[in-house]
Amino acid sequence: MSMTSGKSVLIVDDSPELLKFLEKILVNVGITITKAHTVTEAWQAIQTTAPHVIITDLEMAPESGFDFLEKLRANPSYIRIPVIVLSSRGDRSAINQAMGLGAKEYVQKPLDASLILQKVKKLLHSSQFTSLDFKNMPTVEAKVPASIVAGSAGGLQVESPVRLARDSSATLETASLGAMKFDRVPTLRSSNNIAKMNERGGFLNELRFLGLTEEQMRSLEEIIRRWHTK
Amino acid sequence: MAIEIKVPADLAELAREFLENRKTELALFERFLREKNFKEVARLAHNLKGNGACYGFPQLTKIGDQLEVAAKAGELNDCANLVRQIQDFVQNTKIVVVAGVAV
Repeated sequence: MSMTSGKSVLIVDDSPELLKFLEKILVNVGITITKAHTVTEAWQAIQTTAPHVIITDLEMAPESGFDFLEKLRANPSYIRIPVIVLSSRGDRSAINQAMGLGAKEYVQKPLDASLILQKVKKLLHSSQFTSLDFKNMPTVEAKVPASIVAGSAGGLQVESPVRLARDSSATLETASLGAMKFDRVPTLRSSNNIAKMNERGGFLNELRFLGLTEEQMRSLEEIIRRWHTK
Repeated sequence: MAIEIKVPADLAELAREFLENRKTELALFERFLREKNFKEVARLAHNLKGNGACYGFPQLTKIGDQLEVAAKAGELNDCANLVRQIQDFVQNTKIVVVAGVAV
């Protein structure tokens, strides 16, 4: 089996013809391809399966390749995926900006098929990144310490050592909410988009309350009002 | 005068399709030039510049480069001349399949 066989590459470019060409040369060596025409499509794709390597254009709309690099860098799950920038821009500022945002390689268009293949193989060989299949990842239940950083009647911002996946459920056991006289612990749902690790090594998770009664809502507003005026 | 472009066998089908797409694109170039929509001309030219050479047509990459510059400068006559060069190229080019693979 070749070194590239079974590896996956995400290609992001607004030109369907370039995507098609790259697909042809990479599939020829056994690489699995995911194609995205926009940064939004690319972001959706990596939520499902994070690839071993990403190839991205820079000049795309509405979000550019620079925006994509920034999003990748801001997310601990994806920061280690090696990225090749493939752009017709050859100016020093574009190259510096892309490399500064974490790109591993910069290849200028027009595309040289053997050069891009060589770069992909090099990164697949040296990359420690293991492709992650988020869709089929097992879920876990865990009790972790957390502190409430901010709150409103809609939800809470909670700092904890774990980053909650978007839409995961959470329950909060805290003495301050005991005053609300809930007959059960309130259920919350994560609305995280990108939770960044802070300098204390924790994550700020956005949580929304689910199914509060009006009485609980009023009680919660009162607690939060008192909390803010402390 | 016919222009012969040698393309490796594994890319021949893609190269033919690419050349056919350029014929369709000529109508778009002409329409955008009539409308003086230089932004769209520049966008199409930019893609031509980026893709021509990899499909085996460095001539189209060169024309695409010049056309993008002319469109960004709003030079209508230069744009029209370069679009005619694309037309001449696609009408006179014959793909010759050679043994081997692209990479």
